[in-house]
Amino acid sequence: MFQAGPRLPARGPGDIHYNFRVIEARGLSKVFKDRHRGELRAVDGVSFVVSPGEIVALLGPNGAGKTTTMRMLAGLLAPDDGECSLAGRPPERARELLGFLPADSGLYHRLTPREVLRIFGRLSGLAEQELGRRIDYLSERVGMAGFMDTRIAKLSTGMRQRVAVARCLVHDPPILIMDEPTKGLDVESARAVEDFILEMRENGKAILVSTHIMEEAEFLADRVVVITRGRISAEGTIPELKRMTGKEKLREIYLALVGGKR
Amino acid sequence: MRFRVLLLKEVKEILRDRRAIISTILVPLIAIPLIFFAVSYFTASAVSKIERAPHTVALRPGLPLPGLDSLLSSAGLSPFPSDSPKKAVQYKEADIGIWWEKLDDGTFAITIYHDASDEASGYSLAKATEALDSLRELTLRNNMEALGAPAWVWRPLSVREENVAPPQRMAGYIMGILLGYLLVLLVFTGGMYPAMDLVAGERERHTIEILLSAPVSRRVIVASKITAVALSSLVTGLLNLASYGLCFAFLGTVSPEFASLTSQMPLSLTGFLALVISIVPLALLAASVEVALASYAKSYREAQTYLTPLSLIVIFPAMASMMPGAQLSPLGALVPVYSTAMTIKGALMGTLEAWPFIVSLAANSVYAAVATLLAAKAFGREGILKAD
Repeated sequence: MFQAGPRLPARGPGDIHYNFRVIEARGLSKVFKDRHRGELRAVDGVSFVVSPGEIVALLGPNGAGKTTTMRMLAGLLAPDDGECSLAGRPPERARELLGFLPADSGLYHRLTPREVLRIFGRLSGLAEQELGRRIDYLSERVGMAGFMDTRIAKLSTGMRQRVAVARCLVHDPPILIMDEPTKGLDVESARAVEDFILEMRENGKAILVSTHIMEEAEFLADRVVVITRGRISAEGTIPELKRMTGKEKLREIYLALVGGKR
Repeated sequence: MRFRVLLLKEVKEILRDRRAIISTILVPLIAIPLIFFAVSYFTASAVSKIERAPHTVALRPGLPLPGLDSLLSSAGLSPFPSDSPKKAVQYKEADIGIWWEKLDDGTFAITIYHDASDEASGYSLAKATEALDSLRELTLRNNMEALGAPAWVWRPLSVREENVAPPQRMAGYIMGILLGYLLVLLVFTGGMYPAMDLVAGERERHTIEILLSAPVSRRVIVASKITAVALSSLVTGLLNLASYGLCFAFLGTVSPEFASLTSQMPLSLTGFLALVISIVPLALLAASVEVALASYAKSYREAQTYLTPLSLIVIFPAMASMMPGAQLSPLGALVPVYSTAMTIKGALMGTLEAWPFIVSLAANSVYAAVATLLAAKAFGREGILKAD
């Protein structure tokens, strides 16, 4: 089983000197065929990398192609053009290295958090003893101890999101792809998830998160990749994006990057 | 290992799904025997009520043939004189009416008025017809004896019916017709709700993505789902079989005739094993088809639309097994559903032959394998990620 890499020092947004590409997208494209709308180019030539101990945020409005890009990186969709890799392998052969948190992440409502973690830990090939340790750790760390044996159907949205996050971390993967990890959460729960993601970065994990909230991107990300209508419209740190747009306020920067008007 | 983990997960989900529990366990275990008992009870009580009730006959008086009154009375009917038997029946004053008139040739034409929409009238009609047949025979005999004719003149032949089927085969035939049909239907319906839940439900609840991103191949995922659905179908079938066994055992304690019928069932251990073995490929076939169809549905409700016609399609080959004279030929053994229903019937009647059984088993196994491949293909589509 993959062990988490050595702890890296926390980095500032400007520190982007990486030499190891854990998540890599090269000219990714995806076209969907729709009976009524014809061909829809959801992703068009997207390229970026994410290194260990780095958080990269995919930023863009709804329908920009963030989820499709993440699904290709998770090996759920095959790109029509371009390539992607996780730790140098095709995504479908690197699943044990990946913790994937989809948007609208569903959970098995008839199962308990403990059962869900056990199932996904076993599917990832964890030995029973190690799995037990991971479940205890996550239950404590993510704050699930009080409802580990309650059926998920009875949990609140915040509790469920904690379970979803723990589920994608149960096998301690070095790569995390999280599609809108704070979606639908209140401020307190969202901050708890964000803090946890930052902690994962400090543990050396390569993390790709998607969001359409500029404040979240600023709080979490070392770098931001802005996607608009399937293409990368800008890439850089928040200070770089500020310089690029000549704007100071986050909302103004976002609107300038995604082509919106005030 | 991963297959086992997923199979246990699927089984756990089925066992915690109220809809699946109802269709897989409660329907065969409780509903079917309940329907069986309710129909038997209400039919028996309705027949008994009709038989016990007084049945009246409005009879035109003065028939010069002696004996009709006593024949009607001994058949359980109560005749009373009436000048208008037809009206008596129309106004519900009598269950049936008998009118007679003497024809020019000296014979009597008799008309029985009855109400076909009334069960008591139908019962009385049958009894009165028997009584009038007896009267005709009695009158003929009296006339012939008066003329001095020997019996061979007026009764040249007598007819007797005898059923040559051994009681074992009769018992098997009755059970086989019923069970062969119901068992194959329940094997299909038993897996329907689990298939909808484990495939379309998984899409609807947005859990399909986390499952597909886990380090396990789609083939293993679909195999675990098909196996879980097939297990549900098998459990439904076997519980149905067990509940019938219990029903018959219970009926045997309250009805000596039924006890003698069931005690002579020709179902041997080999026949029982053949019966169970024949259900296995059918359950796999049903599960694969159901999983494949459910893979195209984005929601539970859409899956219901796709799967409901399946239960109607299955009815036709299942019903064909109930046709009089139906026998499992080598060609018929290639027809899915029908061949299994016929195998069950043959096993219960003790007439199952080895070759048609083997052909049927092999054919159904091939169909199940093809359906499994189709299900894997349907599940492997990128469209599986879409949900309502």
